[in-house]
Amino acid sequence: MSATAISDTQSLENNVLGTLLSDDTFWPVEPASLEETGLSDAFVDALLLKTIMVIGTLSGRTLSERIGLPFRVIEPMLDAIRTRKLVSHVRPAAFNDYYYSLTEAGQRRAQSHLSQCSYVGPAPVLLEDYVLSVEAQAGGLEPIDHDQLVKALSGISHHRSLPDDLGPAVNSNTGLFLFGSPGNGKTTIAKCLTQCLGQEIWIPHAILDDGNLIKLRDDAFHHPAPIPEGADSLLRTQKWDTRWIRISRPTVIVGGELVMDNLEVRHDPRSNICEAPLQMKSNCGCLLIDDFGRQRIAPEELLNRWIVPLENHCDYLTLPTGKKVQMPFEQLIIFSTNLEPASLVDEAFLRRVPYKIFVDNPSATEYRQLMATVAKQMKFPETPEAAEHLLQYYARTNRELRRCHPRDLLQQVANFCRYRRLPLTIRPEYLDRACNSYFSQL
Amino acid sequence: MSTATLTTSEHGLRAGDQPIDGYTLEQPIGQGGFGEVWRANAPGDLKKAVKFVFGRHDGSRATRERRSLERIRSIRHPFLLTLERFEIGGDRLIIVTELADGSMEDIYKTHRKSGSCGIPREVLLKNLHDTADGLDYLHQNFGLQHLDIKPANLLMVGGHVKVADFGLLKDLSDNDCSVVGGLTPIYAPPELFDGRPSLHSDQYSLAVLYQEMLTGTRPFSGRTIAQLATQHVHSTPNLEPLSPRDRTVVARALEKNPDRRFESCKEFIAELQSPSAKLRLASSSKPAVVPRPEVVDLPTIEDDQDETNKQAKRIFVVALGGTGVQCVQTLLQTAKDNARRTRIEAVMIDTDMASMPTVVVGPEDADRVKVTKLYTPLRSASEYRSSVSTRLGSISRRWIYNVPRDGSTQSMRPVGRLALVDHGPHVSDAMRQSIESIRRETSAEDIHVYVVGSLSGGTGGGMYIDVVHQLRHLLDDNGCENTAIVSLMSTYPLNTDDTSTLMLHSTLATLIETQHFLRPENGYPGDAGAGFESVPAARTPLRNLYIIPGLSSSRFGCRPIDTINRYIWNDTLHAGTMLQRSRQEDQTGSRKVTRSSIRTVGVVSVGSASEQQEGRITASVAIELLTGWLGTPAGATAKSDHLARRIGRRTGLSLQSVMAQIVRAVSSPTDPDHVDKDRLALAPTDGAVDFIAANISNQLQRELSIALGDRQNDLSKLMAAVKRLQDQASKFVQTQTEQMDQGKFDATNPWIRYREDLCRIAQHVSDEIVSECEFIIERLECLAAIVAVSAVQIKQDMVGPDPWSRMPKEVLDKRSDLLQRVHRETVNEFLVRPLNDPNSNFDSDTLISHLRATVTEAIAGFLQGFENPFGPDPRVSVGFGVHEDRHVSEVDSTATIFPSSDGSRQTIEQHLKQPVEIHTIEDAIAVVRPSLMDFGGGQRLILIVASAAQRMELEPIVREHYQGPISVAVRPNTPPTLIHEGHHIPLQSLITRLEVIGGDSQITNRLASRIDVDWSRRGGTD
Repeated sequence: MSATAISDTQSLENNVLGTLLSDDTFWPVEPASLEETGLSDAFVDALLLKTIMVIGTLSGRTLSERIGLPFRVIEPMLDAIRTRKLVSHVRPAAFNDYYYSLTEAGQRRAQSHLSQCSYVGPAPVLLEDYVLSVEAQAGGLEPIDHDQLVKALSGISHHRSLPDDLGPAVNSNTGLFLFGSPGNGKTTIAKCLTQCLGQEIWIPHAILDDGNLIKLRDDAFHHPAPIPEGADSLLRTQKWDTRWIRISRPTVIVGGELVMDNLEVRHDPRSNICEAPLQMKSNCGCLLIDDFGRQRIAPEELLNRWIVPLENHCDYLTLPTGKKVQMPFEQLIIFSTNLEPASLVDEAFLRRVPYKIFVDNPSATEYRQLMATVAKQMKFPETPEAAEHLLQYYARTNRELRRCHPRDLLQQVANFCRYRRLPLTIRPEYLDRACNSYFSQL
Repeated sequence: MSTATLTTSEHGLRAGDQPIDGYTLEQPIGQGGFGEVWRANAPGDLKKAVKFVFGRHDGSRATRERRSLERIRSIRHPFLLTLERFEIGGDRLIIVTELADGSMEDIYKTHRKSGSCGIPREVLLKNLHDTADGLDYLHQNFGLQHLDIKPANLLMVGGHVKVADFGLLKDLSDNDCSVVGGLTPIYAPPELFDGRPSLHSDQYSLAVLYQEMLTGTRPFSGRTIAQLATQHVHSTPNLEPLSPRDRTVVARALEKNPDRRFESCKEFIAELQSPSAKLRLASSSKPAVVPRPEVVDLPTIEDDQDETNKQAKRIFVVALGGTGVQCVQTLLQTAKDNARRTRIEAVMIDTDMASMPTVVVGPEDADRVKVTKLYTPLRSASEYRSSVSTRLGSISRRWIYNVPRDGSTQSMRPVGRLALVDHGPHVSDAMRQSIESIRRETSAEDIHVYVVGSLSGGTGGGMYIDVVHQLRHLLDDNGCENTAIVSLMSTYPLNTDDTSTLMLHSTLATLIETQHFLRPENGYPGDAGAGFESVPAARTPLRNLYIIPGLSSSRFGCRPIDTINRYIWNDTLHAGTMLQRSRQEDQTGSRKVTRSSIRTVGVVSVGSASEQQEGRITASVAIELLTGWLGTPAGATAKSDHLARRIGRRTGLSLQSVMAQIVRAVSSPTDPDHVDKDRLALAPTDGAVDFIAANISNQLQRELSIALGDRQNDLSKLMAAVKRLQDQASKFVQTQTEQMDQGKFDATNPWIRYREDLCRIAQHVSDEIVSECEFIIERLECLAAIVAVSAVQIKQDMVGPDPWSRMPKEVLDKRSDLLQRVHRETVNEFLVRPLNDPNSNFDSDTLISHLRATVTEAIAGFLQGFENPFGPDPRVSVGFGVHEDRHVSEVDSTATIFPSSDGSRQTIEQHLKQPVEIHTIEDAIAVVRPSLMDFGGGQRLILIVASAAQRMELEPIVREHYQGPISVAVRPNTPPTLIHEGHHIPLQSLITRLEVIGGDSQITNRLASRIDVDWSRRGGTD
């Protein structure tokens, strides 16, 4: 018994170092065996065959990358299906590996697998693993504080009291109403909020539950984030389960196009693949229902849909096989509306969404600041009198100030200047022209 | 280099050009990434260096150069290269400086070429002293950093170094100036990669340069900029090539955090120049930079009473993790021969079921040893889910959701604690039951409570603090308020080994939490989820925490497990009150301890003088005997001549004798002169001829046995002799034929007719004898191998110098008598019998054990014949063995982390290269000194001896080698033991040291075992 063995009681081969060395609260550890993935041999076999069928000849290691399982796990499986004469070696590849292609029997088999379920891509993870990952990474676990929120909102102009209104709402991790006149930056605020929920998260490409394959990854909302670079020599060797992908916390924005169907598991009977509903895609992030009340479905109906999830932090989804599964519902859900919440739904619903935050019109001072910032951004020379001119215009026409106005108006001025091949300058007549066009029909 | 006039550079410069009026270029003397340097003839026939920086003159490099030149223009210092003029001409910047003789790089290369590893230390330090002077002037008077310190930029002028090339020179108040792009990554300090140079940036580069110039190696091995950048920012420098003293100094200059480096470059160089730590302490006029940890000798403790007559003791051990289980195992093993009157109760807690079954209580011990094996397995993350925010509320979710799938803690202490909290009630119940059952039988004073394990492991480190507090609570509940809990915890070796980084962080995290709970304001809050009660800070059991760092494999010293084991036995049986008072006195002592501190201990048993000496003589005699048996193959053939002839004569193994026997066998029984034709025909198959061979071989064996009895003969000689005989026998037929041909046989001899037949028979006999000899040689070889292996083994086990060398002459004179006697007593059993009986199960192990017994007996009798066999002065002649030879070989590398303040380690460090054997009291004193004493604190050496006589024998020797006070206790029936206790070891120093080695504090923070305690409150008072 050597002296060193006293303290290192465990080997570190199957390392959880990732957990230790990165900030991520969840770290998908690379599976050491097929058992650890929770997938059945038959499923992985089918996936291997389908992948070779769809892509063509490819090496064992490429195959391993494609389906997100370590090479040492799939190598014996490839051997097995080769013995069953479903695939054959085409030629040797580097590092004791081969290129594989389908035999005729293999093609038939792959074809039949494809007709059962046409999913080809990274292997799915089990639903229970996904559920754990969501719970581990849910926002609001580590409450945000004033400084973080102010930092997140630093890029936008807002009323000074806004962070204090928003902060508790974000920490509650339930729903919140953002309401107020249009054009005051409700959507922008919602986007900024996601940032302060924390760093990146891990999501699986797809989820498997009792043979129902649910595709979760959606490039529209999920933006891959780099794997944290090694903080230490220890980290450089670390590996992770490549069935998972590290993304920035998702912000899913849906506007008027939202229909109830988006909120259920959508099953394509031809491919036999399910598409995850929006609330699943936005788990651990933020779901913004923009222009609430403008949807084709009635506000009550939409809110009804959220009542249970908002209360219990879990949602019940029906899979095509009829099975009902419990899905975590861990996200900040924001209803943004320019209508008075009370006018949309009755009190019983409003009670479920405890935070209602009014986004006010900017004050004259804020407006001036906003003008200056936007002008600077658009590379206009400094013209403080422009704001004054506009404020007079507002007073004259009895119009309300909006946060979006400086940007929109100056954009028009810039477009005009460019059109006329004039140097970028703000002149009263340009502004008037812009105002006339911008506010014309009002 | 070609002649000046022909030289044309890459940028079109050629000798003879006049880039500035009056300055004529003569010869290029250097070229870099950004420009060229030429020697030039300046007005007044002065030699100057002219540097060209190419690129568009608004290029960033040129701009930077110009900006730094603007700054440097006003600075004059003897060790900064003087700037004469600069101007921008065309697309180039031209700088005229004084001409140097060469650069540090050139000197380095010269030394390398001459075969040395670098510049000699004195020369280098003298030069760097100049450099430091110049740099400090820049730093302190102008707030400027050079930021491009490298050998090529340190120029030699008249035997002094001048700092040149201020290309990156940066005003520290100038915030938005990014420096990346022009730096030399080998020497760049970590903060430079963030673009935030500090006042101590140049010091870092200087330290890298120092190591490179001195040893030819760099602290960071990276080859690409990216690798180097990562290493500078994150990795621990490799300072191995430096001397141990230099290492600490350079390590400080290479601190990642600039604020932790030396105040100034000069201070850094001065630190390197000061010849030793001691001298520096004495000579430092200004406050010492690194407060050298001071070790105070604590007062001795009087040996008050004989404790061995007291009531039977109860040992209650709570063991955590794999190390804890091993401790219990060792304890139980030694319990068998240690104390019959002691009863042991152990609760072992581990997440790993595999470790537990190794601990087995034999039926004979069942009534006095009780072991509770408490298995606290980890479960899967989904099983913990439901209790995340309730029962497991104190555990970070990060760990709950990332529980390793294989069910082990993988050395992650939060995971270990997770298992504890999950099984909290069980753990608590098990400990409670044990305490209650002990209390039913034993009074509170006789219970000794220990917690053992490793602070670095996942289970031990994660559980320790909670378990020890809960144990305190349970003891208090059961009326044992005054029973101290002594924690004896090992740690991972505290050195900079790369592979152990995780362990260092883990240990560090445990220590930080320990420190937190040691503060008077922080009580242990308990854990509602686990059902653990809170314990007020005043009752914290952490004050009795002994930390025993492990050793790197096969290093000099004792395994922590052995130290723990020996401490427990001494504390329970031999010197309990003494050790207890040692702990208490330290708490109530006059020295008010305000800092959080821990304790440490080393325990070594020293053999008694005569026992050891006898043991070594035994080994020595045995080896001598065995080597005597073995003989030397070289020359054996020559020496065997006589023996072979004698054996040949006595066995009848000669041609004539054999032939005579053959003739006798085939002649007719009535007429010996006539051949019996039938018998002749039958001879080869007839037993008669075979009998001849068998008879000879029997004779041979007997002769060999007799020969072995004589110490003059040895196995090599015997083998040679037998080979000789074999050779002889194989040539029988040939010789005979020759003799017949030569007519030595009378032609009238009737035998001549049967010549063919006789030859045939002779051949047969000869073959038989040859194969018989072959067989005997094989056996002899086999015996020789066993003897040789045994001799080597005994030699390996033997410690110390030749015991005979210091024996008095009268003893030495009798030495050969002794050997003769031992030989007589053993030769039959160990050589003759195995030789004659091929079926005997004889191997080296049997040989060693039997031989030892016989030899020991013989020696005991032998030594009795002398009045003073070991010489008149035992202090000179006697060596002392430390009992665990197996764990002893090399110096614990922890010794090199910190140069010792009292120098006691240095004797060992000198032997770093060779394995060190402990065979003297001096070594034992060095080994027993806990390595944590390097962090300062108070120490006390306790010597336990069995009798007054032994005290007389040992105490003077110990005093000779140990300057401090020594407490001596006389305890009958105990092996003599040295206990070196360390108290008030400042925990903060230990933590600081580990933080420096570990680097990234983020990792340590993530290893915090619970989230409901704010560990970050780490007071400045500590």
